[in-house]
Amino acid sequence: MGFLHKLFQIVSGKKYRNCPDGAAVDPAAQRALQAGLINSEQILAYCDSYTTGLSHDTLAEGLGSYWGVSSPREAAETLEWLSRYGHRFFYDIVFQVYSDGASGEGRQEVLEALVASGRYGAPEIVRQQIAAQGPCEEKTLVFSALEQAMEMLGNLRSVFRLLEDEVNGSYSPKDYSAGILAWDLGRLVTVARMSLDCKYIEQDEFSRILARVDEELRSNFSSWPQFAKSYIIGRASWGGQNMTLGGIIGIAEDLMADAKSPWVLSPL
Amino acid sequence: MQTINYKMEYSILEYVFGLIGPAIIIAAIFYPIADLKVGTLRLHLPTGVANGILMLIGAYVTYLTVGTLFKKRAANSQGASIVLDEKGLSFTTVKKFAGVLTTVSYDAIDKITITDIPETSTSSAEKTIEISAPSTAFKKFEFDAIHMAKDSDFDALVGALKHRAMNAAFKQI
Repeated sequence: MGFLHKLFQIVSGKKYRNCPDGAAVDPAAQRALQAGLINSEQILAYCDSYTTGLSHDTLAEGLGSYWGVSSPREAAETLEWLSRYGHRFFYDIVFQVYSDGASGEGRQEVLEALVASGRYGAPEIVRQQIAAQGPCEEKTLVFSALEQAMEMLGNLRSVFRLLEDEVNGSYSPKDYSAGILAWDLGRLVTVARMSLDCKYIEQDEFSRILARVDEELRSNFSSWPQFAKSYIIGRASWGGQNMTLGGIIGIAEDLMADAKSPWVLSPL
Repeated sequence: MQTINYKMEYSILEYVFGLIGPAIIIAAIFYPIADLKVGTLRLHLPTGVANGILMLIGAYVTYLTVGTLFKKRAANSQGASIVLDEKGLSFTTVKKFAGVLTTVSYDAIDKITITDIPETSTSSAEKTIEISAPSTAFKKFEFDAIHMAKDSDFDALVGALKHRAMNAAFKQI
């Protein structure tokens, strides 16, 4: 039934669903919610309220299967990760390695950048642990991160200079160097809304997240099309070029161009 | 500076095909043909004309097949490589069976089309890079991965162009 309902919504082209109980009134919160619009349109959530309007089953599947979140603790960890690191942590590293034109695969350069970031412990100690025989937790973490980063580097190589949308046209190298903050912010908003619906986080925490997203939005983006580019580059660098990417670019194009789109009605 | 080997190999099949044209000419010389027949239609040609037509066909086939071999030789004549430096890339273009060392500034390239179609059960893989530079003499040039020594050479060329051809619009097929 849930699937049929979702299919009907997709086929009927229902976009920008408004919450029947009313929209969020605070302008900063509204802006932050709009940062999650590409994602919320993808999952057919309300576009203007804190609640997503999704059924419990959909929320449980969305958070559980895709995010590995099924408890308040896991929700807090995921939101903290999105807030602090997200995929932009890897992207910034692999973009630098790619821009520097590392000879060969770039594996050694990425590994060194991961260690030097300090995220996995004091760089000197991590280097010693990597050089030493036998497994240890930090070493496992770094090499697991290395695999994720190398996958992102491969995706970045394949999509660099090839991404485009109908509103922005072809993305320039400068757009790629600007990073993928929007990709993390958009997902942060959506995961926070779903976590609020599941009562994994309190309203206060949710409000803090929206305030942070709004602050990041205003400091880093001057328009929604600029935000969309950052989101799409993030999505492509994470998942590569596939059919879903085309769908996401389509959602972003609609958001940037439709007369009824919240992005068009409330420019950044 | 980066150098990518770009050498066109000759195949035995090309040499074999190259013999077809001369074979037709020799046959036309030593075996006089009285007339030409197309299906049930007999052309009633004057003596020697049929042999003349065959010789012309043989000459044309020779031109096509031997011409291809000479064009490959010309393409390999200037070092058989693509040289990438900070300002542009150099490679060999072919003009009237002669190899011409051509240098194109990255800024002159306005469009780059990358074709990367993997091999399937019914077709072979296709990996090419077409650069379009309207202000140059050749206008368009296509690099085919089949003439590169390693797969990574193709990726290196794509990567270098992506980083340096700032005015180019990229398209992937």
